[in-house]
Amino acid sequence: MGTPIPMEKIIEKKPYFKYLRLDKMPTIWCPGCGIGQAFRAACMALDELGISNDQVAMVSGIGCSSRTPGYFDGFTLHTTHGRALTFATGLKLSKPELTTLVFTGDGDALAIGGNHFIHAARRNIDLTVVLINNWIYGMTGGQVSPTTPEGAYATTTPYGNYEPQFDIARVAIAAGATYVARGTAYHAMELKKLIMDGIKHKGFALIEVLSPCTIVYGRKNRMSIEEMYFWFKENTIPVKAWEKLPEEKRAGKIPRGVLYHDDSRPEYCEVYWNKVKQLSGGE
Amino acid sequence: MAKLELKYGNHACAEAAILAGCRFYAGYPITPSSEIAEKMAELLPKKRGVFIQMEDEIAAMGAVVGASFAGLKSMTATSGPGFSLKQENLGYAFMVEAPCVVVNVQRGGPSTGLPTQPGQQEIMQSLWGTHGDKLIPVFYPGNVQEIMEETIRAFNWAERLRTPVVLLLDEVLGHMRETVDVEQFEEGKFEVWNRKMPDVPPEEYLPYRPGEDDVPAIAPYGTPGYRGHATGLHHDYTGFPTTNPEMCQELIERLIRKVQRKQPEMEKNEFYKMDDAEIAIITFGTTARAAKTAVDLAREKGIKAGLMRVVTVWPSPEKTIEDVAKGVEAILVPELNMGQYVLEVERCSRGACPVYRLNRANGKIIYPNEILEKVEEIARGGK
Amino acid sequence: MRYEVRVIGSAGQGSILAAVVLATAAAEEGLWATQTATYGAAMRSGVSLGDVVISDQPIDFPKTTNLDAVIIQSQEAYDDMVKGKPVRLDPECGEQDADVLVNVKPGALVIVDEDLVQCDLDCNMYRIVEAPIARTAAEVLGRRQVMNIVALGVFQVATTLQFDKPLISEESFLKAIEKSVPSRFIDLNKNAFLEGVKIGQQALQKA
Ligand SMILES: Cc1ncc(C[n+]2csc(CCOP(=O)(O)OP(=O)(O)O)c2C)c(N)n1
Ligand code: SF4
Ligand SMILES: [Mg+2]
Repeated sequence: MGTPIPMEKIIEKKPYFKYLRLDKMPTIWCPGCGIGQAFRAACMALDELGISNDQVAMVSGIGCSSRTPGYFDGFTLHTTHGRALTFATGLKLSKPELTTLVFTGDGDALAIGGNHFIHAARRNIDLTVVLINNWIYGMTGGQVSPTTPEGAYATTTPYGNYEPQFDIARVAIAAGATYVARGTAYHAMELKKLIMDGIKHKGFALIEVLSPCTIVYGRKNRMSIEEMYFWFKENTIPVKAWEKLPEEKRAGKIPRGVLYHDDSRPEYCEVYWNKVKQLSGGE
Repeated sequence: MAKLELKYGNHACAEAAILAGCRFYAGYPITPSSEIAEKMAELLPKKRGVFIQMEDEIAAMGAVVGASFAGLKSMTATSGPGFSLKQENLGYAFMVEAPCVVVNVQRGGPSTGLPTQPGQQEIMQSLWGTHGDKLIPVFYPGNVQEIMEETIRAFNWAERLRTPVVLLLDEVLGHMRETVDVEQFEEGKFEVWNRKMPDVPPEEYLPYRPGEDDVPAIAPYGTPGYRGHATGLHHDYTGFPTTNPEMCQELIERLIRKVQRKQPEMEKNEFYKMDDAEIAIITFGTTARAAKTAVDLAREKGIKAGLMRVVTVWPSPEKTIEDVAKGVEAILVPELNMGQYVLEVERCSRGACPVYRLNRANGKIIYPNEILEKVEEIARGGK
Repeated sequence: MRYEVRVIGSAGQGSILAAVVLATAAAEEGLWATQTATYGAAMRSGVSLGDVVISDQPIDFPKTTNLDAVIIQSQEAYDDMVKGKPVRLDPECGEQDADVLVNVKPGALVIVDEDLVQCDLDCNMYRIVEAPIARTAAEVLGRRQVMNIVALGVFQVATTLQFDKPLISEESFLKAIEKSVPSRFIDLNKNAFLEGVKIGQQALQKA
């Protein structure tokens, strides 16, 4: 064992380390899990935007992805399964000055929390939602989720999944989200940029992160860590390129990047507090 | 002379919440509680507060806890089915020590039940509805004046102990208009308590380190330097999850203890003609009003009846009930349910006297003459 | 003193509003009051009512049990109050005694609209006041909708049959109207009340 490197030295080289609660590490995540990549991307995005720890709240529900706030040195709330967006709505509306990030999973946001998801999007409240889509319920050991691909194995689909999937981005757009992007745990720097733009965006921002659940999903479906990352590399393409593809060549390919961006719609907190200003006579 | 003003029960609750400093309301419409939300929607924006109608009661309860963490005094109101939906996040509020007030204007249940008619069927659910061990203060006023007093008291205890407090009303109370002596609610004439703030510098700040009163001083989110973590998992003083058995045991014991040790200060009952009573009626809310009239009617007939009206339902006035039981020959517990609070009265009276019931779950209130009949029957029974 | 009043009529006749104004007037007078209503399935279709309890001290039981006064605004409301008809308030009552009002004290004040209600009550049992309430609202005030407030005027005077002076003063009623109705209807309602007082006085002289 060598002498530990002093924190200042680390932060000098990797400034986003200032957002980490290093005393709470190691994380609970499995080796190769993509959640850490998304977390790192979010920290780097905050750092590049120059937002200090004291200006950030991070809220989550329950699941592996929802454990993220525990490692983030800001104002953090690890809430109940599926309900993160409701707590975040109360917090953000009360303290609009806090940059508020929500970390959630495919089950958390779209199964148990589906109702809150569409309504938060509809309100266009200024939350940046990082949704870790790992196609599975990771925390509870690999049950089927609303995004598990057809034919894939989960502990509750021993004969292969026969339910159709949600297309998260399309759900979000239809519900009224004004910034919708998709990245992957493999394309780390691109993901950082997507999250950065999501934070900058004034309104409901959804960043879907395709992320390998290496241990649970990978094992069930006989994919190694490498194969899973390779799969994201091979099967996702930048949205610009995807748009140019003829319909028949799009099959099986997933577009990455900013899928939807609309700055014209008013943001919920702003609308509310303007109303309050009017009603309480100025100021 | 009293300064009387006619107030609608549910509106009085909303107005008193504002007086207590409430600045955040999230709700979802449900009869017979909706007028609380409607009044809050009108009042809060003018007080620089937040009103939001959420997509369901689960969301409303979540938003209330989120706002509580931002430092605002927060409230939600609902009824039966909505109260059931709030339970998980109510438990969360208890676990993370988020002060808030949850109003349940009781109607007839179970399920959708009798939406427009009164019930008193959540006496037990208020305490035990969410899973796990806990102790949540539950207050139940008996008239519109008291709705205001108890709403303020609910906020005060919520903030002081950093706990959710449940305020029970019933359809009759919520939907009736009654004169209120408003003098007592003029500025400066009632107490308002606020949550305590950390008294240590940021470097020493541990959000879940309790004070001598067993209550932690958690800084509102956004307070520079005082960052922290909260989780519904068992946690240590930093707020971070732990499975250390000693820590876990101590956490739950402390959460219950911080409320229980204030029981004597929180206890509130009304006694009516109890001094020489031989038959005690113990009840609350609307039913207690019928009982009070019944006490007078019984006394006209030479039966020494008395009333103990319970306002602080939980933590239980154990000792007081035991003393009452020792001093009378029988107790009658009339309630708009199939026998809930009577179980607590039986437990607390420890067999000192027989405990009789008068139950109903059909949406009709119990009238004074019905209680009188029961009292007469008990009196005739010799004991 | 405990004094119970019911305002009962057909839906749309403003019985509940009248009860609210009455309770507010009681508060203005320095008296304690409760006002309750019956909702939903318990209500026979078409009939609506507002109950008020008034007292010189805080009120225990907030609902009415034994009425001291009833204001009856329509025939179906009258039928509803009469024993032997399908009434909701006392399911036990039988077919006999067809001209007795349910849950109303002997000696109680019964105010009825003389054009709208065929009243067959025993005048030895009740203090009956019949007045052209709806007609006054329509012809004098030009708005039939304010008959509920006209009726309150009649009630205000008629309480002198039970007390030395009116239970609640005119001023308290006028203040209560200001507090209870939308501002653009205040004058109309105040006039309605005062016209009610007039026809109330006439009816008392007749009686
Ligand atoms: C009300 C409730 N139901 C079920 C659970 C159990 N549970 C915990 S995490 C989880 C699924 C999480 O899946 P996802 O949101 O996709 O997160 P991941 O672990 O995959 O990141 C479930 C069902 C719970 N904690 N609470
Ligand atoms: S179970 Fe899956 S999602 Fe959870 S930490 Fe392990 S790899 Fe990641
Ligand atoms: Mg998942």
